[in-house]
Amino acid sequence: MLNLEAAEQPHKLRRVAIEPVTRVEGHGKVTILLDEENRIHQVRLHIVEFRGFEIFIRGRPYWEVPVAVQRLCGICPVSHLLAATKAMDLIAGYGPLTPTAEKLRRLLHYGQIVQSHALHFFYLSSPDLLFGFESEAAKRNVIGVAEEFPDLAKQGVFTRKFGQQVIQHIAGKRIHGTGVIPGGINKALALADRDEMRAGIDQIVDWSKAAVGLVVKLHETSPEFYKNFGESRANMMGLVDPRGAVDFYHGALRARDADGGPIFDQVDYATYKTVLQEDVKNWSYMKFPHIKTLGPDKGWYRVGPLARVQICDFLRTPLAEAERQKFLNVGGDKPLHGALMFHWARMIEMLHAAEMARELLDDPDIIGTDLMADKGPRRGEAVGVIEAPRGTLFHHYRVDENDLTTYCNLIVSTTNNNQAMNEAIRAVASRYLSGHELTEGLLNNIEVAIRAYDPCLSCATHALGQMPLEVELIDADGALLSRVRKG
Amino acid sequence: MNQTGEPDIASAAKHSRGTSGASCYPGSPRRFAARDDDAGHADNALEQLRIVVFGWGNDARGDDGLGPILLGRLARAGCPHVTAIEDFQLQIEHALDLDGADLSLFIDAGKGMPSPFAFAEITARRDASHTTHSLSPEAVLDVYSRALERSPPPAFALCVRGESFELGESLSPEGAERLEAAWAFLQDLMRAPRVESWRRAALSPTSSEASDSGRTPQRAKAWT
Repeated sequence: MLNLEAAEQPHKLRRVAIEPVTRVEGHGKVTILLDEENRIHQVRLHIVEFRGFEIFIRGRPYWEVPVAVQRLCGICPVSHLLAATKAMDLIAGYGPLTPTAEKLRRLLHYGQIVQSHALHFFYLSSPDLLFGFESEAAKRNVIGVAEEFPDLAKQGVFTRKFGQQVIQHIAGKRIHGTGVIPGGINKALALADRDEMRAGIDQIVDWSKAAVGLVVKLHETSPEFYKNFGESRANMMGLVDPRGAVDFYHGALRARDADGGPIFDQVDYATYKTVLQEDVKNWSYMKFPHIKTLGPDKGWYRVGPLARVQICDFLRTPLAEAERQKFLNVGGDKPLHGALMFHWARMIEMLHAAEMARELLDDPDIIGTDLMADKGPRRGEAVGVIEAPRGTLFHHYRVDENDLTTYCNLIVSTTNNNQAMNEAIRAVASRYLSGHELTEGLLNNIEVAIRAYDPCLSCATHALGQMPLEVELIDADGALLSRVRKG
Repeated sequence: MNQTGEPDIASAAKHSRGTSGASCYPGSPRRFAARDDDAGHADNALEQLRIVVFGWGNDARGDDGLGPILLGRLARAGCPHVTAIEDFQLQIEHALDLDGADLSLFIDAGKGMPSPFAFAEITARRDASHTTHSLSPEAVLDVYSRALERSPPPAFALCVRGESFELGESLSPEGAERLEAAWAFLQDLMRAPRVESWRRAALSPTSSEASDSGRTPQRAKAWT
């Protein structure tokens, strides 16, 4: 494996910083240390993420937590809502959810996955994929897509709208939703709302299937490139149901190694600390989790679409499973690890989520009125885990006798992917940048690899006028040689 | 109740019935007095007007909540011709919320903006935010043009200057002060919800107006 995490003599190297990385959520920075011949010695992705989130939650009554955590992230509040509520179901002492409540929560989750994956593919990544990574910068954005693929851009907008519609109908509001509560759901789905969603879902399934077809078409233009770009052999982890199918809402932990061999399976996520360990490094705000038995050097892993479609035994829906089989054929009997393969996997998941949503909308239980589970004795500690659009999301809480939250530990999807993203950009830097004169197009290769993971570095805040990208070239003495801004 | 201690939009909606569009902000606009031609507009015309107002930001992040707070106050004022939409960030699907609107307003907090706030007319524009998880208002208008293949409704932006945006913070003292200035200005806007009036408001703030109320609205610079 390349060892570009720490250069031996960093003070003798010049530094390039890509800050912040564009088209990802939140603020990220990549630093690259180069020698006189532009050979790369160190590459790091720095992320200022979720700082203070656990403290923000502490001291709140447990029933407030599902609403409060929605304020942690501007783009995936539903993921935090569901993970926190799953934990609070147990804290509050509720037993298994009623069929209607569980199905409504699942529908909510599938709606979120559809809209999240749609945004990423149609708007954030398709410009790179359609026009190439070193294409004219001005064209490497959605405008180019809209001009040359106008229907694609429209589909992105309307697919997003559908996802938001699902969230609004079930969670109650687009944000700060209160529909999901410990023990179940507080409002039955109205028949008219169900019918409205049902009327739109066939189109979403069709568009999702077409999106998978587009990714396949792009892949066919340069199979080896797509397969190998940003390749980093990683362990993989995600939730599966007892039969081994992907389950975005609930399941047990499964991990496989880079060759597809088993590491662990059907691990109760409440015991995640027995299989995972979180480390810190002095150059990043973000934790580095790894599989305990393998240690920090070999135990890092990948989560999210590329992991999920490869660790599972099957997807429960026919269209998505057929597409998954085509995807797996590319790798033969070995898992795929190229960063761009994320896009293909993500679209398979969008199709799967759309099919699952359609199935639920045809299920009579979805408009049932038995919404709350039976309540038993309260607990002091619980873990809630879901497969968020970007990967496995852990929420772990302890609550005292006064119902106040005393402990909160979050491992968000992007944290799970921290080392994997670092390895991906090191692979890209080594392959495409090292020894070359740096250009904006070449630097975009780094960003393409990061964007493939769809990292959520959200702080749910924004400041108008901030530059989305700044690149600084600094010599060995620390002097600024040049600075380029875009946006 | 939201993080700021003000009722949230949903609570406000319960109280937003029973007032007409013309009477939810009684009185004449003081800041940008309507011309005679505006005054000729009948109240019933106003009642048919549909104004979409976006307020976005995170009320758990200090001054980032200025947009949602203003939006909440607007919703509680009960103007039936106003559709109030709150979100953490603007995204591509918000373009579809503009469909059928006669007029739109985007309310947000910003750094490095004129104090206490800036108000300007905005138009569809392709910018770098197009490919992020958080769009600019101009980019939302641009998505509207492309997705619906027609011009978006006239749009204006009210950006209140914020100072601190950290998680768990409440409004800064400066933000709280500017909130009141912006709220007074917003009420004036809603007393004259017409494109021409808003254009004058965007173009004509003077020092005399500012001294009249202690507010100093200025034309917004480009949003991004």
